[in-house]
Amino acid sequence: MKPALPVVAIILLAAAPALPHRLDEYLQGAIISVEKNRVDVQLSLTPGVAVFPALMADIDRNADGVISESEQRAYAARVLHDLSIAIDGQRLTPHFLSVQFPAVGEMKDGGGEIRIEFNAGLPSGGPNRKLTFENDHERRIAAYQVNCLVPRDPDIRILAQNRNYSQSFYELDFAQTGVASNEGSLVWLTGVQKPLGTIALLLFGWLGLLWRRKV
Amino acid sequence: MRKLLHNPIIRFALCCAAASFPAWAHTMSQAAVLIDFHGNTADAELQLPLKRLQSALNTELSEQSVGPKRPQITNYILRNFSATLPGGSAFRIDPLDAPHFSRIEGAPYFVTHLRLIPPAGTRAELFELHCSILVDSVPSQVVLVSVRTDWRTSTFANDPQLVGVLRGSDRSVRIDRREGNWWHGFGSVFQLGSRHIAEGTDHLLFLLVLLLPAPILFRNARWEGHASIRRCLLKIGKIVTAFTIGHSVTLAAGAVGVIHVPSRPVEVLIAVSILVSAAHALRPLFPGREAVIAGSFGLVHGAAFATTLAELGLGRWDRVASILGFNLGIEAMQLIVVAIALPSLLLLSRTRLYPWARTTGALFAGTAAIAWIAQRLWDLPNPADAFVMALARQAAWIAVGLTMLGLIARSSAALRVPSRSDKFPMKINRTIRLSILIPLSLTAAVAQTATSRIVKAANSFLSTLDDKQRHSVLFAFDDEEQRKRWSNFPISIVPRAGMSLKEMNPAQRSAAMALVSSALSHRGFEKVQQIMQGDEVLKSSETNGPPRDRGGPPPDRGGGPPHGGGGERPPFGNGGGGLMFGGDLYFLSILGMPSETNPWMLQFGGHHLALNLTVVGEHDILTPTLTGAQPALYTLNGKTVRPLGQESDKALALLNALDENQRKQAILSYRLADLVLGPGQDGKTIQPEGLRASNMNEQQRAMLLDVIAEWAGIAHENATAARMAEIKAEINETWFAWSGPVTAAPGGNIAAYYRMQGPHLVIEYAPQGMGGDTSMHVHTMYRDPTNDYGRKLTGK
Repeated sequence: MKPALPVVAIILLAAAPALPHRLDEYLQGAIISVEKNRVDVQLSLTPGVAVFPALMADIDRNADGVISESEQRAYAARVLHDLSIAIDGQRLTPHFLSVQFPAVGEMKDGGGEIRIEFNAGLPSGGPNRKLTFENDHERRIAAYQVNCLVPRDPDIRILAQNRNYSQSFYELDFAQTGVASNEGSLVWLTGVQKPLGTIALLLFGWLGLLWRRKV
Repeated sequence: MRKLLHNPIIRFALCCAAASFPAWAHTMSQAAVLIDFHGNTADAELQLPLKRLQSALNTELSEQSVGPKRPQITNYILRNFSATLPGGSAFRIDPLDAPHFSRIEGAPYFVTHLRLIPPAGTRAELFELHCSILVDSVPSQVVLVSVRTDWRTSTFANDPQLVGVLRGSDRSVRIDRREGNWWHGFGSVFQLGSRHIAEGTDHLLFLLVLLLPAPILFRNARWEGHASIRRCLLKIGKIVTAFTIGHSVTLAAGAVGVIHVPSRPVEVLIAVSILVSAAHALRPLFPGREAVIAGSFGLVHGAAFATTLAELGLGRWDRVASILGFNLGIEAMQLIVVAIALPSLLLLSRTRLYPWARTTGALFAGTAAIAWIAQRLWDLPNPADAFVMALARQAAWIAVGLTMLGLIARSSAALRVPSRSDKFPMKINRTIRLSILIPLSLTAAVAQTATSRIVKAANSFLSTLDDKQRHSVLFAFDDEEQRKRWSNFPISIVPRAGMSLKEMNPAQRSAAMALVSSALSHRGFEKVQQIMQGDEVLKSSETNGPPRDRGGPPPDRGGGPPHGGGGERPPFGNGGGGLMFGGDLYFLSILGMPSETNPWMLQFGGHHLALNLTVVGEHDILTPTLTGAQPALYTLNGKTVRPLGQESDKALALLNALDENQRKQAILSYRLADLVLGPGQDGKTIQPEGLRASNMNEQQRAMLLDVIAEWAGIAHENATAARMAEIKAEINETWFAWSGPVTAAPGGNIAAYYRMQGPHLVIEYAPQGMGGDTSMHVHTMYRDPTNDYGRKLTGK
C-alpha cells in the first residue's frame, strides 16, 4: 500500500458529512471453498468513499479516469501478491481466474464492488489438514472478512476456523476422508515430511540390503 | 375519503411529505389537528405548542397565566380556523372547551376542542378545512391534520390517518368521505372482533378446553364413557351460548363506560379461567355446570374485549354499533372454531384414545395457563407463549390430523369403544363425510386465500398500467439478471429495473402498495413502510445537511454496468452527483405472470429494501430479502420509529439470556464489518459458527425462534407459519453468533453484528460503520441458500 493513502483518507474523512455508505474503510471479503484437490477463493473488495480517490490513483496508473482491462488485471495481480494461502504449512500458488470492476462512479459513491476470483491446487495430503489464508492488502484501511463455504464434497468436513480480531489471518482445519488409498502411495508426505520420509525409505533400503548380505 | 385515507401510498406519501420538513423531528414545535367524526358533525382537537402560540399571539403564556388570556386565544383560533363546503358555504365552528394547558410527549401545549357543524341540510362528506393558526406567523410551522376517528371510513383512534400537512402558503386540506359508509365501519369492527378471537390464543384455549369433557359422561366422580351426539351437541351449545352471554355483558358495559376494569387483573383472570377449565378436563370439578362457569368467566373475557373496543375511541352511537359488529365478529369466529374442533371431539371421544387426548390437551392448556399467570403477574419470561402461538398457527391442520386419527381409531376394533345405546355407527357415514370435508375445506380455503389474494392484487396492479408500463414491469420468470438486481444501495449506485413509485400515478401507486401489502403480514408491511419512511427522513436530512464534498464533477458512470445490474438507468438518475433517497424511489417488478399454479415472482425494493417473493402455487418464498434502515431510529408524528428495533431488542435479550459458557461460544472473537452473504452472494452456505441451539435451553430456543420470526414473519401469515414450522423443525441445528458490543443504549439499537444460521436459513444483522453511530445504520439479510428465489420448488 502507498504510505500516502491513509493520510488522504483521514483528510477526506474529516471533510465528509455522515454518509449512507462505506466511508473510511476498504471492505475486503473473502469466501473460500475447499474442494478435493483445489481451493477456490472469491474476493469482494468495496472501497469506502473517503479512501477511493487514493485507491483510484493506485489502480488508474495512467490517470485517465478510466480503469482499463490491463489496469484491472494489474491491480488484481497486486492484490494476489498481498495474499498468502498455504496448506499444511506449504505455500500455494494462486491462479488468477477473473476480475470484475464496477463503474468508477459506483466506487466513488462507496457502493462499487471489485470482485476477484482465483484458485490454487491442493497437493494431496493426510486426512486432517490445515489451510491458512492471510490478507495484507491495504492493511491500514482494510476491514477484512473471511469465511469458508460448507463443502459440497461430502468427503470434506470442516473441523475448526480460527481468525485474528481483524480477520487478516485465517486458519481452517478440515478433515478429508477417502484419502486412505493415497497413504499407501506415500503421497500424503508433504512439507518437511517429504525429505524425512525419503531419508527413512533410504535407511530402510540400506538396512534391507545389510540383512540380505548377512543371510 | 375511505379510498383516500386507506390508500397506503397516499398515507405513506403524506407521512413522507411530512417527514421531509426539517421541523418534523422536533416534536416540540409541531401542531396538530385531530378530527373525530360523529355522524354529520366533527370535533377537532387542536394541539398547539406553547412557545409557537406565544410568538403568534405576541404574549407571554404559561400554565398559570393562561386564565385571563383564554378569550384572546379562543378568538385567535376561531379567526384562523374554518371549514367550507365546495360551494363556499361555511361550517359553524363552536368551541367545546376553553384552551387548556397540557403536556404532549413531555412538551408544553395548549389544547382546545372545536365542533364543526355543516350548514343545515348539507352533509360533511366533502369539505375544505382551512387553518392558518401558527402558520401565519411562524413560516416554518408545520400543522399536521389527521382524522382520528370516523366510522364511515373505518378510521379509529388506534390508527389515525394523516390527511394533510399545513405549512407556509399551504393552509387548506380537503377531506373527502364520500366513498365511506356505515357498513365500512361495521365491517371493520366485525373483522376486528373475529381477528381478536382468532389471534387471542388465550380466549380460544379457554373455550376449547372447556369443550374437552363435553362428549363424555360424568360417572362415579370421574369422566367415563361418552355422551350421545345429541347430548354432546346440546352441552357444547350451552357452553358457547353461556360464554357469549357472559362476554357480551361486560363487553357492552365496558365499551359504554359503565364499568372499567384495569387490564392486568383481567389478563391474569383469563389465564386462571384456562387453568380452571384444564383442571376440570382432567378431573370433574363442576360437572354439569360447565355453562355456568363459561358464563362467569365469559364476563372476564368480555372485559378484555372491551379494552380493545375502547382503544378505537368511538363516540357514543358509533360505540353501540361497534359493540354489535365486534360481538358478531367474535361469535362468527367462535362458531368456525367449534365447527373445526367438533368432528375430532366426536370421533375421538368414541375411542380408547380419548382419555389420552383429553389429558394431553388439559395438561398443555394448564401449563400454558400457569406460564401466562406467571408472565402477567410477575413479568416473567414466557417460553410457552411462542409455542402456543406456533401451535395456533397450525390449528386447522391439527384439527384435520385429530379427525383423521379419530377416523382411524374408530375403524380399529381394538381402539373403538363399544356402546349399545349409542347410535353412532348408524350416523358414522355422515359424520365421516363432515369430519373430513369441513376441516379440509376450511383449511384449504385458508391456504388458498393468500395466493389468490396476491394474484388478484397483482392482476389488479397490472390492469392499471399501459402497454409500455407493463413492458417495463414484466420480466421472464427465469430472468437471472432481474432476479439479482437488488441491493442495499440507493438506486443512484445500483439502478433497479421495473417501475418506481415515482413513475406511477396515484391509482397505480395505490395498486402497487396494495399488491405489496397483500403479500406481507401486517407487521411486515409496516416494517416496509417504516424503512421507506426512513429513507424519506434521510433525504430530508441530506437536503438540509451541509453540502456534500464530492471532490469535483458528477461521478463518471462509464466503465460498464454494476454487478447484477446492467439495466437501463432510471429516468431520474442521480442527476449530477448526489445520492438519491426518498420514499418514492422504490421499484416494483413481476417476473413471470401472476398465477395461482405457475411460478412467478414479485420484486419490490430500493434503498435498504429488497423483497423477493416467489409464488409457487400455495407456497410463497420470501428469500432472499434484504432490510435495512438509516436512520435506524427516527421520530415521526411524535412517535419514535425503529424499523428494525425488534430485531435489535430481541437478539440482545437472547444474548443476555445466555449463561457465561454459552456466551463464550456465541460471541465471536473477531470483528465483522458488514454482511457476509449480502447482495450478489446467492446460494452460498458458509460454515456456521457461534452457539448451536442444541446447546440452549427451551426458553432460549424459543427466544431464538422469536428473533428469527422478525424476518420470517415479514411474509403473509400462511407463508410465515409454513416457514416457521420448517425453521422450528431444524432449530437444534441452528446457530447463533454475535460480534461486537454486548449492550445498547436504552431505547436504542445494538451496534453489534449477529447471525443466525440453520440448514435452510441465514439471517445477518450488520450495523454499518460510516464514521457515525453504527447503531443508526443497519443492513440485514434473510436467506434460504437452498431455496432462494424458490429454486428448490421451481428448479429454475
